[in-house]
Parts: sequence; structure tokens; C-alpha cells
Amino acid sequence: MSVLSLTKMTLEEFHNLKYICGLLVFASLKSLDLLRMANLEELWTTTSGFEIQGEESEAQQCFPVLSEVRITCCPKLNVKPYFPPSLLSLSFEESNEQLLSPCSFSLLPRPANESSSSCNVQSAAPCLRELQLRNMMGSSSSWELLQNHTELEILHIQCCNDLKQLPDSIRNLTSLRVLWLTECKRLCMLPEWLGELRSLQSLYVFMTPLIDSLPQSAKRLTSLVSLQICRWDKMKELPDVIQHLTSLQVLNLALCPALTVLPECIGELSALRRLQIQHCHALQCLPQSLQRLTALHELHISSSPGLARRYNQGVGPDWQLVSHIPDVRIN
Amino acid sequence: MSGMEAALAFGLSKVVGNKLVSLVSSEFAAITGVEKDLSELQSLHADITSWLSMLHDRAMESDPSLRWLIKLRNLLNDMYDLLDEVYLQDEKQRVDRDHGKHAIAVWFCGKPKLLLFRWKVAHKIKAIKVEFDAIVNQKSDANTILHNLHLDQLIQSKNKITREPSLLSNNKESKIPSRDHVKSEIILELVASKKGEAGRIVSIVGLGGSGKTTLAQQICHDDKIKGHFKGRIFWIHVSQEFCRDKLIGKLFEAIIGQKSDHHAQQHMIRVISNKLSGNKFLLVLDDAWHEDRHDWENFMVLLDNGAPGSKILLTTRNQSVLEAVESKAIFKLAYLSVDESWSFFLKTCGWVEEDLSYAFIPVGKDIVKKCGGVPLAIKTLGSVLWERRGINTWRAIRESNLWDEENIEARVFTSLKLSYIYLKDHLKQCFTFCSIFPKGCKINKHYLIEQWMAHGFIKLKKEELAHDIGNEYFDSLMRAGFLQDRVETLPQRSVSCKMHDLIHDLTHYILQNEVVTSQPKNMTDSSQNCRYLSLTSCSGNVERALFYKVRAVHVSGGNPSFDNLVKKSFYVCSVVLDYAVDTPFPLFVLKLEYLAYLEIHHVSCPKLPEAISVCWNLQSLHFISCKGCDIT
Amino acid sequence: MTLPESIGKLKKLQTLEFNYITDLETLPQSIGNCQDLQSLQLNYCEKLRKIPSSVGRLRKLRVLHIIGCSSLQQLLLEFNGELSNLMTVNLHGCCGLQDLPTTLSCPKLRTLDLSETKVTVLPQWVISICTLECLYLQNCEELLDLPKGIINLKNLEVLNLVGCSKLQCMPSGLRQLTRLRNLGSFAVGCGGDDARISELENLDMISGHMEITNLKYLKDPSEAEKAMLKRKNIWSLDLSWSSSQTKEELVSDVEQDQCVLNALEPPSKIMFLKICGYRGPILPSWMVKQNDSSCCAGILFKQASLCPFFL
Repeated sequence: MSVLSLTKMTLEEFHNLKYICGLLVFASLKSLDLLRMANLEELWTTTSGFEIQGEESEAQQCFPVLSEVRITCCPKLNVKPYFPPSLLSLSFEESNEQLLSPCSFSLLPRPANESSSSCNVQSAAPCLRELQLRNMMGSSSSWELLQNHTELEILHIQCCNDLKQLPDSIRNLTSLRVLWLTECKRLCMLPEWLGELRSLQSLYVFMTPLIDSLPQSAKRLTSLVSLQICRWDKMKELPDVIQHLTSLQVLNLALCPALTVLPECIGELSALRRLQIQHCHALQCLPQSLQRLTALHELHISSSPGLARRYNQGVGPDWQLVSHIPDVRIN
Repeated sequence: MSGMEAALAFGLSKVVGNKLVSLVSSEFAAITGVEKDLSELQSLHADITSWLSMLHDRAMESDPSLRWLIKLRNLLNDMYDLLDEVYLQDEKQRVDRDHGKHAIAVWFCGKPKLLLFRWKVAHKIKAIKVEFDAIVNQKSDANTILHNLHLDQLIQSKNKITREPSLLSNNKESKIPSRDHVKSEIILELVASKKGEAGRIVSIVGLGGSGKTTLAQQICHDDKIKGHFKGRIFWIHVSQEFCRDKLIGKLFEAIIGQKSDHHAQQHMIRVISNKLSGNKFLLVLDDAWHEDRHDWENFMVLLDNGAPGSKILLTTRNQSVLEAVESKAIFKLAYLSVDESWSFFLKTCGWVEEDLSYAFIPVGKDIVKKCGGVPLAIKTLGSVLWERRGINTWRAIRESNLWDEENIEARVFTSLKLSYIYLKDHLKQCFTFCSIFPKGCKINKHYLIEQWMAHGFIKLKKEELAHDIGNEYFDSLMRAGFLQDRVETLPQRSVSCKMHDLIHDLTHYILQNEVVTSQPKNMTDSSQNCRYLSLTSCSGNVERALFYKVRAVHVSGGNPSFDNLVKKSFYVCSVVLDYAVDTPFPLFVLKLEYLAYLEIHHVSCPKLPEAISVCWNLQSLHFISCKGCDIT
Repeated sequence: MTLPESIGKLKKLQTLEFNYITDLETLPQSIGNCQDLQSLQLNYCEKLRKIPSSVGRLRKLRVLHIIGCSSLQQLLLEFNGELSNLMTVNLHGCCGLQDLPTTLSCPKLRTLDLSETKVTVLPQWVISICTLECLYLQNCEELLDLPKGIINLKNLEVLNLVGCSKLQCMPSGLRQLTRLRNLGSFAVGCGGDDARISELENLDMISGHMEITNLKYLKDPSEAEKAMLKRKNIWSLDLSWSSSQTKEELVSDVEQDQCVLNALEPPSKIMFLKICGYRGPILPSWMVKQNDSSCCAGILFKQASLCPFFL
């Protein structure tokens, strides 16, 4: 039985396939990729458990150890009855947004005589750690799935161009450690409840030209270690709330053409170890409070000529300000 | 100690014998009239060899005065040098003749030169004879040596044993069940996610040779680990020297896969940081020695970027290192129990207990017990026992007084010493030659074989290519456990291996002052004996006097200058120059007339000097990563 | 860097190696005088343009490695039966190399590595060397076809064709290469004289990674059965119908595809599987439970839309 030792399977461009069901148990499969299945409507992850003449046979998981699933360009696909509970990492690209409805996950089977057409499940899959969403529509269903997955640790949201704000369902993700928001062109601000993501350690917000500040609740992000910002085209000044991020160790500002000033309150970032400034042409000087940052070990400045002129070692007029930093690189 | 000396002498003697055989009957010897002298030398050599072989099995006795053995060794070295001189003259002859020059005519024409040569050879042989007689007289009680029974019982086995110990280290299977248990525990620790920094550094601590590196390798090959870290597993060999810059270079090489030499440190740090950020990785720091907390912190800072769940696996012999890195998850490798040692021994030899006849089992078990439960000791001694299957040899090994050491580390070293003593003679020189490589460096198999050829360690048989014979020698050393970690890289299909630290220590111990690894402050008599010169990260001038008897030079990093060399006929056969940064072509090489093997890394010169043809004896020429700027 | 002419005076030279010498352009002609030379290696010398013709006089040459020299366009050597000891020729990664010499006599050649070059066709002399054991052609993206005579290389153990994207078919008679243990890639052909997939039947030593491409030309499932993939020691399998299919192709031969994929059941130890472009309506029989597959078409579908039933 060849499927028993399979650890990775990729199925691509099955134009005529509509249903995947009645599968054997893939006892070793750890990774499954479904690419460009234009007509695939259903993927059944359990073996026969259907009723025939009133007799129900035992339903078995087809993928008992599956930990990684990638679904790309399957606009009609729905997973039934739910994703395998062993799943650690999930990636959806340009696919059916129904995949993100709470139906997709379930731990306990519901009793057979309970019927409801709207799947409203309380418990969530116990171990989903990573979710990547690329080019997924967001506005209508608001990604209710996320509400129940409080164990999620890494969330990537990329190229979701119809998203104007982050869906509320993300609010509950209290275990979230890393949040990537990339290329969401219509995203106009970060949500007020951002501070509720108490475990957040790394926040990366790239290519979101409409965003220019952080919400006030950000001061509650006491675990935040790394903040990296890129292409915030409208931002003129780093938001004040940054002074409360006292656990921040890495701050990276890249391609912010409107940024002219770094506030003095940056001196409050007592844990800051590395400060990176790349391609911020309008930034001409660094705040004096930089001298108070005793933990600062690395300062990297690139393609910012105003700063380069001023702080170049020995040459620039103000290089005293940064002379206490062990590793200064300016190019 | 005397056993070691005798063993070394044996190896030397073998090589000298080979040279004698080929020279005595050569045309050159006949023409130049040194044939008679060489035959005398040959009979002298036969005397020495038979004397040594009578001593061989009794050499385990400790002898307070080793001076005679050391003198014997020097004597053999002198013979070797002399023979080399004759041999090289012969070779030069042949080359010149092939080139069309009528060199014999030249020789005869230059009668004074010929006479001088004959006189020189005869004189040296006389001196050697005198020395040998003096040694024999000193050791006159050697005449009362009992003749050992050379009638060894061979292993009477029911099944004919043709299986060989495993040549390739199969990283997936462990031969030690208790270690499997430790392995699972460590793996659990590595995949567990803990809040904060608590579980970040997992350490394996144990004696040298207890199998820490092997265990770490097995862990890296485990499917669960590979899946958990998504293949982002990096390996750095730290070793005793702790230099942050070098470590960064090594980290860069491990992560990016390119050599770090040409890159600025800032660039490397940036690249490392980018590669690691947001990703979960496993970094193995193999063989850590350094105890300074701050230095470690400074280095670890580079690794903070990774996603939580990233782990560091550290192997060390030293408990204090664990405190310096603040590792909380510590796994001590226990010594193998007596039973486990025995079954490990059987597995490495490819035997089951039934294969051994009953006389051998208790002797074997005793020997294995003396290894103190340290896998390296069991493995190397095991391969010796596999090769030498005479019951008397086994008993001699068991009774050796080299075992009288309290300290477990010394016992491990003892087992290594014994393995050397019982190594086949023709392999001894090949093995000790490896002392010239810096500790922990990768040894390229083909380069090594070519260097053996350059030094004449390979005994040529008819119809066989020297390279194939060299291959056999290499495989034998791998089987014996002296070389390990065989790795093949595509697409060139080149093979490299490594030497365990302790075994490297063994080579230095055997050769003593014949191998020199750093410039001595004052030139003493002992440094005059230097035959293998290995300089690592050294600069400045090298003393000419050091070169008196040097045969092989290995330079790694740094830029030592050899400009003081004036004398042309140095006996240097092989030169390896592994510079770290581009240096101009080292002209001193052109003064080495007898050079047979030249390997140069990172040299920058537009055109190789024409004078390279002066080195007529060159057999192998390797240029790696060199630049020039001119075009012809 | 250049080599002086005096290099020819080194009569005892056996090994000459140049690795990563970025500005080496050529070697002097006098290299032909080093008659003891056994191994010549010129690896990753990006500016190496040509090899002197005198290399053809090196009678004792056993190993010739010219790896990763992207400027090398032709291998011009005078061959008059001189290289009688040559055993390995490795030209991996010489991505400028398009033409091999038209004649070359090296009767003892065992390994020829032309992977990652731009060779378009294998010259005749390659297939006349009956000692050839390994022929590496991975990622030869310009290779158009294999010469018919390749089936005469009885000692061939490795014929690695992975990534030869222009290769559309294999020569018939492939079954004769019984020692083959690494094939890498098999392209189903549409012409009459092309190898059928059934020729894989007795090549049971095949192992490792295997791709089968152009499956859209495979119409007869019984042939697929004969290929007996089940018996091979493959741990990674790629099945590809076609890289591009027209609209008509997408909906034709639906039934046949199903039977073909059923017949191409992989061996039981398989670890990695990739299937691309399959046109059947359901998954193959070796992926589903037998009794379900018949139901699939009927009852199940109707009930599929009412999710509460299936728990």
C-alpha cells in the first residue's frame, strides 16, 4: 500500500477533479499541497463515516499526522468536515474564503442527531501555530476562523488588497507572537485593540502606504521585541506611543520618505539594542536622547544622506552623539 | 612509552626498507659506485629490523631509560635522510636524461663531483654503523631476550568472518541503545517550546571521546528535528580558540554556505541577521571550551533574531562552559556499562559473540572493560583487535602496563596509544603525517594521498597505481577509527574527512618535537629535529635553523615569511600554504629543489614565475582561489 | 593568472589542479610535455576560454575535470586514439558549452558528466564506448534527444535525465539497459520509434528520484501497468501529464487518464509524490478505499452538501 509511507504529497492542476473523498489513511503524510485545482470543491479529511441505511461506520482521520497544508489557487475548495487536528501550519493563497470560516476546524465530533446548517463550533484545533494568508478576500466573512484559534503564534497577511482594516477576529489571538502585514494596500490603520495581543513579540508592517501611526493601545504590548516598518509613505513622525514600548530591542524603519523627525521620547526605549534606518531621505537628524540608550549596540544607517553626512565617524559634525555605540555602520 | 617509541621506529624502519630496496638495485647506484655501500646499509637495516621485531611484543615493558630507543629513532631518520639524498640524485638524473641531457656523461666528466658524492655516502653510512653498534652495546641485555612464540592461535571460528567494521559512519543508526534514550530526551527538549530564554541552550557534556559529537550528528539527522526546524540546522565547530570574529566567519559559512574570507564582518553580521530573523533554527556549537561569560554573551547576541523555539545545542567537555553560557538543560553522557561496552565493541567489529572462540572472550572483555566505557577508546582498540587476531597479541594488550593509570582520560589515551602500536607498520608513517594538519580541519582525501606519495610512504607494487594503493591506506585508517566523518561533496565527488581531537593529540605525542606548531622563542637542540612544520595564524620571519630537517610545511592563515632560506637543498617535500587573504606568490618555494607536492590557496600573482621548473621533482600542483590581474 | 611555458619541464607532474582561479584564461601548449600527467582539474575558472590542443597528447591522463567554467564554449582537442587511459570526464556546469568534439577515442571511459551544460545532442562517440557506466545529463536544458545507440551501452548504471526539459521522448529498446539504477526522468513519446513506458518493466534496479513526463501521450493503461513502478525502489516520484494543455486536451481522455494513473501505482516505500496535470475526474484507486470509490459517483455526492451527516 503505497500511501502508507508518503510524507509529502503535491497535487497540481487536476482540472476535472471535483471531489476528494473516501481516501485511505495516509499514515505518514506530514505535508500536503493542493495547487491550481480550479474545479475542486471538496476535500474530505475523514474516511467513510456516512450513513447508509441507518448504520454509521467509524470515521477515521485520513491524515493523522498532517502538520502542513498549502492551498493555492483553489477558488472553490472547501475542506470537510474539518482540517485534521494535527495541523501546525496552514497557508492559503488566492483561494476560497470559506476555508477561513469556523466550520473548517473542529475537535469534537458533534452527536449525530444534532443538526444545524450553520456550523458554530466552540472548541478549536489545539495546535495550529502558523497561518499564512496571501491574496485572500477578507471583507465579507471577516475570517471568523481566527476567533477560535487562540493558540496561533504566527500570522502572515499578505496582498489582501480588499482589506481596509484588520478583522476583529484577530483580537482574540492572545498567543500571537509574530504578526506580518505585507502589501495590504488598502489597510488604512492598525486597529484600536492592537494592545490586546499581549504576547506579540514581533510586529512587521510592510508596504502599507495608508498607515501612518500606531494606536494608543500599543503601549500595552509589553512583550514586543522587534518592530519593523517599511513603506509607511504618509508617516511624518514616529508616533509618541512608541515611548511605552520599553521591551523593544530592535527597531527598523525603512523606505519612509515622509519621515522627518524621530521624537525625543525614543530615549525611553531602554532595552533598544539595534536601530536601523534605511532609505529615509527626509530624516536629517537623530534625537539627543539617543545618548541615554545604554543598551544600544548597533546603529545601521543606509541610503539616508542627511544622516550620513552628520554622523559619519570622525567626520560628521554630530558624530559625538553616536560615538558611544559599539557598532555603527553608515553607508 | 617505550612501546610507542618502538612502534614509531617500526614504522620508520618500514619506509627506510622500501627505499633501500628500490635504490640498491638501481642503475644509478651501479654507475656511481655506491651500490656496495648501499648493500651494507641494507644488511644493517635488516639487523635493526630483526632486533626490533624481537622486542616488539615485549615492548610493553616499561623501561626507565628510553634513550636508546630515541637514539634508534634518530638513527633511522638519518638513514632515511641519506637514502632520500641518493634517491633524489637518482631521480634528477633520470629526469635530466629524459630531457635529452646526457647527464651520465656530465657526471663522469665531473669526476671530482662523483668522487665527492661517493665519499659522502660512504662516510655517512660508516657514521650510522658506529652509532648502531653503540646503541646495541648499551642495551646488551637485549641479548637475553626470550624468543617469543610467534605461533599465534588464530581465531577458530565456526563462521568465517569476512565482514569488516563499518567504513562509513552511518549517522542514522546508533550502536548504543542507552544513547538512543538520551537522544530522544534531547530531541524532546529541543522541540519543546518554552517561554523566555529558559530552554534555549541545550548542552551535552562528557569526556573526550565519549560520543558527544556523534550524538549531536545523529540528532541533526533525526526526522523529527529536521521537520521541526524545517531543515534550518547549522553546525559550527568551536574548538579551543574562542575568537568572536572567527566564529562569525564560521557561522556565516554554515548559514550561507560560502567562504567567509572575502567578506567584511559587518556584511556578514547583517546577512546572518537577515537569514535568521523570524525563522526557527537549530545551531550546533560543537566542542566548546571557552569559559568567559561575556565573550559568550557577545556572540549569542547575533542569534537573538530567530523565532522563538530556536535552540542551540552545545557539546563540551568542560562543566564551566555550561555556567558561562547559562545553559539550563544539561545532558551528561554517562560512561557505557560493562555490558554495553562489550556489545558496542562487537557491533563495531561486525561480530557476534559466537564468532569468537572461548579463549578470546574473557581477554576481549577485560580489554574492553579497561576502556572505561568511552566509545572512542572501544572503537579504536576494537579495530586493532579485529586486525590482530592472535591470542598472544590480545593478551599482550591486556597486560600492557600502559593501563596503569587512575585517571579516566589517561586511560582513554592509553587505548589510543595501543591502537597506534598495533597499527600496521606501513600505515604508521601515513598516520603520524596527519599531525601537520591543524586541529579540527577538514582533510581532503586526494590531497592527503598525494602528500603520502610525495613523501614516499606508499609502497608501490607492480601494476598498481600509487593512487589506488593510497586509497587502500586511507580506507584502512578510516576503519581503524583514526580518520572519521567521511563526507563526499558533489559535483567533484571529492572526499574529505576529519581527525578526532584526541587522535590529533596522539600524533603530536608520538612525534614529540618532530612536529612544531609555532615558532619557538629560542632555537634549542630539540627544535633542530623538526620534520613537520605546521604554522597556524603566524606571521613574521621563520628561523632558518628550524628548516634544517623539515620535510613538510603547512601554513594556515597568517603570513609567515621564509625569506631567510638560503641553502638550496632543503629536504622539503610538501608545502601547503592556506593563506587567509591574498598574498603574493611565495618565492621561497622556488628554492626548494626537492619539492614534490605544492598546494597554495589565496595567492595573488599575475603570472606564475618561469622558475617554477626549478622544482623538477613536482608531482602535484594545486592552486585554489587564486587571483592574478594580467592577461597574456 | 597565467601559467608559464616552463610548466612543460615538470616531467614528474602527475596532478595539476586549478580551483576558483577567476582569471585563468587558458593553459600553455607546453602542458602536453608533461607526459606523466594523470589528473587535470580546472574547476570554477570562470574566464577559462579554451583548453590547449596538446592536452590530447597526454597518454596517461585518467581524470579530466572541467567543472563550472562558464566561459568554455568548445572542447577542441586533437584526438588520435591518444587518451587511452581516460576514465572520467566531468564537465558539470560549463554552461557555455554547446558542442562536444565530433570524434574522441577514449576506450576506457567510465564516467561522463555533462550536467548543466548546453549540449544539444550527444555525439556518436559517446555511445560507442561500451565501458561507460555513468552518464550524467541533469539539467541539460537544451538536450533535444538521445541517440538511438544509447541502448547498446550495456554497462550503463546511471543515466540521469532530471531536468532535461526539451527531451520529449526516449529511444526504444531502453529495456536493454538492465543495469540501470538511476534514470531520473522518463519522457513518454508520441512517435512510433519512441520507447514505451512498458520498457521500464524489467529495469527493477531503478531507485531514488524518478520523474515521468509527457503522460498525455500515454493512451494505453496496460502499458502503464507493465512499467511496474511498484517494484522499483523509488522514494520520490513526479508524474506530469504536460506543462501546458489546450482547452480540448483538458477535457479529453478523461477516462484513460484515470486508468493510467491507477496503473502507475508507486512502490510501497515512497516518501514524496507529486502529480501534475491529471485529467481524471477522481483520484486513483490506490489512494482511495475500494468500496468508497464506487459510491463516490453516486450517493455520497448528494449527501456531501449536507455537512452535518459526516462526522
